[in-house]
Amino acid sequence: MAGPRDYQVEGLVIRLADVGERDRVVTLFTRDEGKLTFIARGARRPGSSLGPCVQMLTRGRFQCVKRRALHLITQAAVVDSYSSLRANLWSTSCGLYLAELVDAATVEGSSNRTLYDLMVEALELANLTGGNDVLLRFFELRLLQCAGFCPSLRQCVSCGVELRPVENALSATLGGVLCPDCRRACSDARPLSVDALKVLRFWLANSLETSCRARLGPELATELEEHVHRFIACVIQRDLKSRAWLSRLRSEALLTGSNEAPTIAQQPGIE
Amino acid sequence: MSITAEPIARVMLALSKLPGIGPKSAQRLAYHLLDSPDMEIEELANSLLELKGGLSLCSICFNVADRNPCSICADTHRDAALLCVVERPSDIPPVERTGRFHGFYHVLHGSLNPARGIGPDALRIRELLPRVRSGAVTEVILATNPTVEGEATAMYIRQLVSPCGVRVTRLARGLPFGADIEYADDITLGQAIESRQGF
Repeated sequence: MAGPRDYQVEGLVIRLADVGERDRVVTLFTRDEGKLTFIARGARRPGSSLGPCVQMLTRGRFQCVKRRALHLITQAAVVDSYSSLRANLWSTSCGLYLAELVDAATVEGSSNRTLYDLMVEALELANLTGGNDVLLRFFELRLLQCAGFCPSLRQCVSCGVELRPVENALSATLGGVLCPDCRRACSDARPLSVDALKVLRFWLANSLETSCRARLGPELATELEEHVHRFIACVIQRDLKSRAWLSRLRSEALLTGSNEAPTIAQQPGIE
Repeated sequence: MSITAEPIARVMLALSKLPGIGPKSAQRLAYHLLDSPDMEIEELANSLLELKGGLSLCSICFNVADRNPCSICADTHRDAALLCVVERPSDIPPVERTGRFHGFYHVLHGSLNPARGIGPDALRIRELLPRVRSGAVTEVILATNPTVEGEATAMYIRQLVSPCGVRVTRLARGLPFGADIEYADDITLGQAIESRQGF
């Protein structure tokens, strides 16, 4: 980022930490520079014009000044605050999960425009539709792709043979699908149904909007969730705390009959 | 060998752990204390010792108090139908200073923060339900901070207490007094327009 002292970035707020009495350390996932950390002085002061712009999941344009330590955010304008997403506990929690996921899967200063566009698209869709499990799974799979860890879904990762429409196995450590002959050689390989393989391929080949129209039964949804999460855990090497929160919300919604946590089976137009 | 005498260095280290106090401020404060009369130092030391020892959480509202129940919960003149839910004990004095609220409080001691693993079990949410179900409360005012975490906490509590048949309200959001509309941000101004009232 050599150049003038003042510069502007567009980005999403993915992490916040309070410092001192009035300041806030803001981690932005920017469109052009990747993940960057700034300090927003006075952002917690009542009436601060920066305050509403440096809230989690806010997409904005930020005027910054280079400093020797953390760069400073001096002005900000909101591009999208995703107000509908924030008005619902489930969709807010989905958004916070996506933010934690992106934070965990990216490194400071490494640009990833595709991932940025994906995150913006996912938040916009969650803002419109409230978010669901398909959106989360699609995002997780595409995040793996953006980070260079996309599972190999066409050939066996061990012997290279073209996969047949039978029950194969998926190995997170080997990075893809194993044919029935090779699956015994890998201890972390888990059975992968034909339908699950088809859905994973479908998600990699289609847009988020198209993928969210997919009709998935509860068993298939659970199978896909387990596979994708095993991959995510293998790549980021830690548990995401907001994932446990999503599971809790889902189980509480089932207990109370609340509509705050829609599952795949509860989505309109889905079986 | 250290340039600063050990007792001063210890005070500086202790002071620098306080929020908003850097090493320079800690040094200034330590030397100021050194120049202060013995009586003042003694008074400060005693009040610091009493701070923890003499205080506990009120068993009803979970505010920090020097007696149990706290002075607010023990006040029989307050309106038992109103219950204001706040994030921290430090949120109570500003609400009290308005002079507009005469109900009781419930302190959560934080807000939900999924990314940091702070869930409902880490807060005083479970203790809120018996108070709401007691029958005396008719309105729960959710006065959590207008941040994403504060909103999530408010939505979660709304989900929990709504089946109890009480009115659930949220503090209004909008322009602060003395603000300039020209410099207001879009979110605040938008919320102020949405929450406008008859005049």
